[in-house]
Formats: sequence, C-alpha cells, structure tokens
Amino acid sequence: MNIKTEIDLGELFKRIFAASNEKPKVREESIKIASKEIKDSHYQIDVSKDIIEKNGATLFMVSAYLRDAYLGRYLIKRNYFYLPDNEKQANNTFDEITEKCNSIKNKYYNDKTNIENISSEVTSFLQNISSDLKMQEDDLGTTVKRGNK
Amino acid sequence: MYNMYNEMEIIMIVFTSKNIYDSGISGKEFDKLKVSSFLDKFSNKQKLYNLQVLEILIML
Repeated sequence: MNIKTEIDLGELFKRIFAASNEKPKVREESIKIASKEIKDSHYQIDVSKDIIEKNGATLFMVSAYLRDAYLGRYLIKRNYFYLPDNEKQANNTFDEITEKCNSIKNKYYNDKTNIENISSEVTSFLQNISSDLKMQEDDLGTTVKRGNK
Repeated sequence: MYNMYNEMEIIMIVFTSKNIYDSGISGKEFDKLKVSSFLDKFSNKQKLYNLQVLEILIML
C-alpha cells in the first residue's frame, strides 16, 4: 500500500453510513457481440450498477463482466466501488462502460477490429476507470465448491 | 481532509470466509457477497486514523 499520509477515517465512516437523499437505482445492461464467423458464438458484456447494503453501510458497485457465452466462462471481471454520496460518479462509470462496449461492438461489426482484439480492448479502457475504493482480494487458494458433490 | 479521498487510493482488503466460498454462488453475486461481508466487518469498527490500522483490523 502506497498511502503514507495519516487521514481521518472517521470521514470515510460518515460517508459510508450516510443516507442517500434519493432512492438509488439499480441499473443493468447486457451487450452481446455475436461472432461473424462461428455459429452460436458470442461475447456478452454484463454491465451493472448495484447497491450493497449491510448494517447501515452502503456502497455502489459498478461491474463489468465479459463472458465467452459459448463456453460460459468469464474472461474479464471488474468491480468499481463508490461511496453513497457519489452516486453520480457511479452512474457516469456505468454510462462510460456501456458506451465504450457498444463502441467496440460497432467497430467489430464494421470490420474495424478483429474478434481477437475485443477482450484486450475492453481490458484497456477498464484499466483507466477510477473509483472511490478498490477491492483487494485475499490470495488464499481456496477451493470453490461446485454443486452438492 | 474530506477531499483527500479523491486523491488517494483506498483499498478494501476482503478476506473471504469459507462460508462464502461454500455458498455455491458465483460471478457477480459472489463478489457482492464478499463486499457485503466487508461492510459487516467495517460497521463494527470504531473511528480509525490510519489505513494500515484499518487493514489490520479487517484482517482479524
């Protein structure tokens, strides 16, 4: 962690527990990019803005998940977190991701990019999006349980 | 002090419990569950003055 300045985290607490004046809205959009060469194959980018609430604390989570819909696997999973008083920025991020994904889709349909480039182009613009908080995963190698076996 | 948050990178350290891993949930719902778990821990802490302290407390 590069932060060396001592800050008043009490302000962060206040902001995370701050009640919003307006009822926040969940937003969802799926962008499908169908392969022009392989039947039934397409990429799907699920973009959403969710509200996560627990014990009075709230965060907005804007997500961008790119799936290879044919195989059902995730190629990209990105989440961006915003404090309750920064819903406008969360909405801006949602709009930006949606707009850029549609732009990449149109580039592919207009033969201005190849199917191989879609994943890297999405990764590229997602790297430049800023958020209030970042989530750092633990690095424990825990087996994920699948089904009831 | 308030505006400093825009200039800093604040990182949530999310230590995922075994219960969440065993929930059978995947994808975005899995991430939401992890962040919800973080908020649950966060809401139980007192006012802190150092992010490293926060980091350590969340680990506990």
